[in-house]
Amino acid sequence: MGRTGAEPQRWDATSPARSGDAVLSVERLRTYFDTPAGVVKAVDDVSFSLNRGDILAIVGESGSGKSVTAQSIMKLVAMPPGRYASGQVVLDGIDLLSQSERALGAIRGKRISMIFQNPRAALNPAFTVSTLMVETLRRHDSSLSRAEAVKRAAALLRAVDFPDPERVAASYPHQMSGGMCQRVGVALSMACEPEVLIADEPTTALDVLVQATILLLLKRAHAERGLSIILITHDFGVLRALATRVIVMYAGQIQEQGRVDDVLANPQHPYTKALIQAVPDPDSTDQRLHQIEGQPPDLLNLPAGCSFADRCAFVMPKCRSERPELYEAAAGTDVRCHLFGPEASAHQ
Amino acid sequence: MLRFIIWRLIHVVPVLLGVSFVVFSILYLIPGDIATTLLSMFYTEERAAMLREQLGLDRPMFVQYGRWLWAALHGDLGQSLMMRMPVMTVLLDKTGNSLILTGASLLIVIPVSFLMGTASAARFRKPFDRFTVFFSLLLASMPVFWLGIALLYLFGVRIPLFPMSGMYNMANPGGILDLLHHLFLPAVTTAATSVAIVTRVTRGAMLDTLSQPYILAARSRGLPGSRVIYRHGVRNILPTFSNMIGLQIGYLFGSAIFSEIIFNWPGIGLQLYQSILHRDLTMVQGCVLAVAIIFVLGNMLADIIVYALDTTRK
Repeated sequence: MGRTGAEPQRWDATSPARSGDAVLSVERLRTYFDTPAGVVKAVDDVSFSLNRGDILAIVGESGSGKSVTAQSIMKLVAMPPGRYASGQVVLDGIDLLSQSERALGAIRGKRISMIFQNPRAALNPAFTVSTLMVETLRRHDSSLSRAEAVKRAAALLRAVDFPDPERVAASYPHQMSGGMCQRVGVALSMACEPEVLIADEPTTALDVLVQATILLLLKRAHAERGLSIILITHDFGVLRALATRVIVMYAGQIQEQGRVDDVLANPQHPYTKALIQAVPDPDSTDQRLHQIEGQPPDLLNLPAGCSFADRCAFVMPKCRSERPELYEAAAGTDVRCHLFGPEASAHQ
Repeated sequence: MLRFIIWRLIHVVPVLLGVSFVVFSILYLIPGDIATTLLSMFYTEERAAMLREQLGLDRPMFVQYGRWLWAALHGDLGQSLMMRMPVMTVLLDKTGNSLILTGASLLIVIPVSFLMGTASAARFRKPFDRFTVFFSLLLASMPVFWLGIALLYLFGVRIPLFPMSGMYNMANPGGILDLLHHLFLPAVTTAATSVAIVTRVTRGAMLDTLSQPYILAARSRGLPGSRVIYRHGVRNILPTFSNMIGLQIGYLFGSAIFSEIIFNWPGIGLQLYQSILHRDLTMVQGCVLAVAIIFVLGNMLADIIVYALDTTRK
């Protein structure tokens, strides 16, 4: 728990009340992939809600299902092999998963948009920035003339701190640095002033200085426009700097969710504890880095009980046989662990 | 762009020189003596020696090559041994006919393979995609000569929709319509294998493109599926597609040789076949050279188109 002493530099979000109104809620989402080897349960019964003006982070290691969750929200998972086995994604009373592609086309990019992990790969190499921006703007506002769209694109590019928007607009992705590409990605995602932004590891592929500018842009959009953000990351620094609430995912399920402060300072789930311990601490005198022993479970062959049981330091017989539910472990923090189950608390 | 075209044109020169040398040396090196062939029943040692001197066949190979090349550059590929006509005159006539056949096949290959390739990738693992994969495998498995004979039998003999052979109806030549009528079966035959190959490659390139992050990103901005596929996707396979087509120009010329023989189409392929049968070496040389030049020029054209389509080089 080395990090608790460091004061988190976090954006002062406008009172993210837990009971605040949800702009987006995900209910019992199950995204499965049918592969020749069997059904991969990439997202298995995930429920959460994003409050208006909140920044919700989803953390987890590779393969934990966080990116698939992000893509599922916008119904972007390729089908086949993917399928939505159950669940709802409700945006202002509309269930996105039951919408037709046509109806979704009017919502994607307009009310909910996304930025991607690999900024250059997310821009079509055959088109200039201007082409992409004008196309997106006019897709959602057919009354917009080409000339107006070009002007609007320049304004959007200036808003992500390009001093020379015209030159950037005329550029192809390969003519720009990774950081520039990601700023274009932010500008594209903001083009139609969405209510919700999904940022899928927006800074993973960037160097530290550029990471800071991208995070700053997201903070600014959040503060100035009240944008609600779902931030997918595996970087605890990013989490600290930006998020108000956090969801910890493992093997396609939510293991712990709560306020960032609470979860970082006082993690309840053994997995979260191990994860935070694994973050290298520059102040620590330990020579060895902490790691979590073992491997994440095979998503094709999940154990009958808790999916973390094989790597858990606190494993009990029950963990092998019975899958835990989400239990309230502390005020505002839910944990999927038998340590906090009704029987466990009865013993205490 | 202009600089690239000029640069590419300059690069054609050494390639063509190499081609000409290979064509010349193959015929120089194959067994058999031209003087003997020419004299046939009038052969005597003295006559053969005289003829060799006359034709310069007693000079070193490089001298012969130089003289042949110099003459070729001036449009003189020698006399056809069989037809007693300048090879160039025959070639110009036949090349035009072959280009009509190859061009018609290309006009079948380009739209059919492009549409089938992109549409099947967009319907990955759906019935249309499965059909396309099966159909192209079927087409690719049929040799040109077999398909030609099968089509000839089906649509020339059993259901006589199309004429059996030649370019025009000799008794009643009917201009362009008559030509198209005669062209249909040989063009389909020539195009078949290329359609199969280009469809498969186009499908593969398209599947690869559709799995790129920028396609997901385009969908995340609300662009309709058709626009994502046919604008964001297709734009990125155009260089691959043009490259394939450029290669197919030469390949079609090769397939055309078979269909020309089967359908008696008076092109370079048929001429080559007959010249080989008659050991008309100068004619064979001319035909092979013509095919090679068309192959090289086709690739050059494809390179220029690919360059024009490639945004990353601008």
